Amino acid sequence: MNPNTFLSGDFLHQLEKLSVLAKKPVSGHLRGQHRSKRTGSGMIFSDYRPYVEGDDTRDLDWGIYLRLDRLILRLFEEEADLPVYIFLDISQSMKFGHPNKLEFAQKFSAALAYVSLMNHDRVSLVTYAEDVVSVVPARRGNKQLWRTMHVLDQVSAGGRTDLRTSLCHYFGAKRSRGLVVVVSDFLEDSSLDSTFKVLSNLRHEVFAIHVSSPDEYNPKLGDDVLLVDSEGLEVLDAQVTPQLVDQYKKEFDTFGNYLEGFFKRFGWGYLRADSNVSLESLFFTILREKGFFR
Amino acid sequence: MMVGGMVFLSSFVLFVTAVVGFLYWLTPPKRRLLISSILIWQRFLVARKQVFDRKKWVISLLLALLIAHCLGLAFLSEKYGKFIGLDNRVVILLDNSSSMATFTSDGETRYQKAVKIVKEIISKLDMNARVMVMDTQGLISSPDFDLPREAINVVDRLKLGASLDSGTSMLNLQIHRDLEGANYYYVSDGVSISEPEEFWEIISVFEESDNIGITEFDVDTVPGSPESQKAFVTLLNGGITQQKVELRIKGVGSADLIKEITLEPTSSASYVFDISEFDEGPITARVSAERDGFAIDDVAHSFRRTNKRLRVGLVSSEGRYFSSLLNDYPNAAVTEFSPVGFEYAGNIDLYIFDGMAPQEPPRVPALVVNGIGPWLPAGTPVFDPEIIFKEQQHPILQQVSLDDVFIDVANQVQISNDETSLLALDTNLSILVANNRQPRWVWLGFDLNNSNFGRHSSFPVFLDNIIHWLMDVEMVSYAGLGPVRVRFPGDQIIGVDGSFITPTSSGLGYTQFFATKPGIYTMKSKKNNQLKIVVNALDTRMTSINATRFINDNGSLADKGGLFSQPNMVLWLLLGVLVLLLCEWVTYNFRKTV
Repeated sequence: MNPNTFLSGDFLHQLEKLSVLAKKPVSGHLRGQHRSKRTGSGMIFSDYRPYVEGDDTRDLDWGIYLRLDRLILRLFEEEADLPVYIFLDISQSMKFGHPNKLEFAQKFSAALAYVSLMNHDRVSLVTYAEDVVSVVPARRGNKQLWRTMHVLDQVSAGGRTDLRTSLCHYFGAKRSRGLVVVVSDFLEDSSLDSTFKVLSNLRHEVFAIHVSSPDEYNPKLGDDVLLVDSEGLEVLDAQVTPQLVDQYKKEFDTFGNYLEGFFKRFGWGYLRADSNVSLESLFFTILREKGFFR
Repeated sequence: MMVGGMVFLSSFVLFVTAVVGFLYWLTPPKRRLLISSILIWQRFLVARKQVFDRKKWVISLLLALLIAHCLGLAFLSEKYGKFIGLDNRVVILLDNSSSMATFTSDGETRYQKAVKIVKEIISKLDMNARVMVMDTQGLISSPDFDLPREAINVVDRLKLGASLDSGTSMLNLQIHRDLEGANYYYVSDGVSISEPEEFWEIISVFEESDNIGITEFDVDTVPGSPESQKAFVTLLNGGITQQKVELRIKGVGSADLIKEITLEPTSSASYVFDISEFDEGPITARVSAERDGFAIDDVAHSFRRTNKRLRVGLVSSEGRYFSSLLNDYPNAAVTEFSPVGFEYAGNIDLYIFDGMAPQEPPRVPALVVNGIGPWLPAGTPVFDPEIIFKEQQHPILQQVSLDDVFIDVANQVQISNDETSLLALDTNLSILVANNRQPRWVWLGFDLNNSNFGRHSSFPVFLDNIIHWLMDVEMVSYAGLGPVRVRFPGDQIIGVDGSFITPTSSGLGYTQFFATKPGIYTMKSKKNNQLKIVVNALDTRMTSINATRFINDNGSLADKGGLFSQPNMVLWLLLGVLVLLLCEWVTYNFRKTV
């Protein structure tokens, strides 16, 4: 499976110019392109310190030695890779909309994985619904791209959404601190605080992609309808009037604002992405403006 | 009333529930629409629905209840009209007795006016009402509750009766027992009726009128002069003014007898006319006056019997008994013959063979008493016989009682096809035989000396019947208007105007038919016997057409409109249902109701 399944060659070519921007120094243990907390053999000067035996003599500042006759070592910020954990919601609710929300999420995830892998970041793809459905362990390299694409190609929507359980199960094991990108419609009833508590505790960086469909925002439901929840099959009796639709839109916006507010509270990123938005504008304009890419 | 109310209430509640359920069932089913999640909808719909749905349900339920209520009233009004204030069960008793044939000042009869009023009552009822029409003459044999239009048809088919007897009291009892809760209207002139029960709403069609009528008319032989006959006539002025009256007696074979009389109101006068000049046949008395509102009593009929002499030949060795009896028989001329060397004489109408029989069947009508001839297949004589069979329908045995008749010894004969056994013992043989073939003969199987029958009070009647039957003299019966029941096996009835009348019942020697007009009816049997029935409307009560029980209050007739001014409530209720359904539809489409 190759990335062309989801994305055009031109777009992929353009994506190679992007790289994910980590807001904080990363703690990756492999050499990468992101500023690390550790100092070492990077390109960016960090500090000086007296030479001690055993230090790499290549880092000695010979100019200082000539002026001061002292051996001073130049320190550089070490550049590490960024573990990117892509959490893709494949619950039943993602199946809806024109264009399909899951399809959009698959493409987004593929593009994000491509960008990350091109920048030598480790990428892990986790699909979830009521629990973790499939996991592509965090690795980097071309093979990881194929694995990720393969898994993305195989996913199918089904089940209820339970992000909290999925996050708890996945991050129950030791994971490097990194960027957790949650691609979901966030249509679940549990509290966001409890859901994302595990991530905040582990001090992961989070970016939420709130996928919505234009149909969801502007529903055309007809007249008297029984609204059936696709996940829980609960039924809600509604006489859909223009006033009711307006109220729904307001409530939908309120929901989005709530999500945005929540993520902002933790300094995390949030973006509401309609499924009809082009990935080009999303990646090259919107997400860059949001500081997700550079 | 309490039980009725409960039944009504439970029926009504059931009906309303059913209608509300039906209306709810009519609501189109909602489309099920699968959406990604109802999470956002739930956030505001649940709170919103609690308030708005309650309002919608209340409005819907109110409308449905109103619709059901209107429908319930419309449909159940027939049975429970009283409970909901509708006159929906109405019993109308229409007086169709003979006095209703009286003409009123506007040229209509009282009956015609009554029919108009009845129709007006019915037409003002609800379309859903039920009406029972009854008549005082009982012409409607099984009255039942019908729809108004059917009730009007019943009224149209109803005819004026001929008798005075209204039978109201019997009807009153029946109706009062069975039809509690209905409205009762009695449309009558109040003449010759029983006192109506209190629950009847009386509507009077009475209006005073003049009337002269014949209350008695009889034709009879003058005692001591068998060939003379006289007619006795009584007239009554049943009207309100003095009148000059012409009384005319009409018969066959002579000029009419006419008499002019002046009669004061409510006074009567009797007259005797000598009708000896008339030939045998019908006699009619007719009265005419300038003002006469009631025609039925203006004519009376009778029948003048023949008075020609009957020549009887008595062939008897002794003959004393029959000789003395026949000598007392009116118009009978008896010639006695000796049985020895008997030969038929040419001028004899009827022979009586006493104690002997001719050698061959009689050539002229004859009564053979205890004589056995070779033409009679005789059986063994029976001592102290017990009669177990009597052909009482036969004209010979009419009005003849055989109670306390004893016979010491009797001969029996075998009857043939043309003969009728009138008295039989416990065998197949007969002791009284009538031969129907002409010339007729009657054979009696016992000697009058061996029985007390000759001294029995029925014997003269028996002999008279035999003579009339043998001579085939027409019999005459007298009756009043209405149902006429005669002891005659009539097969065919010919009315006054020559039309055939169907008997209302017949059997056991009786025939009944309904006489609607005065006149002479003819009844014929299968054996071609004939009975003339003279029907007259002679009754003082009938002629007294102003003898009403009601106060003459024509003004109240107009006021009666108020009683029946009920608008067609059912129609309004159904219209209301339509409007409410429209309202329901509109509110449903505006999402104001569920």
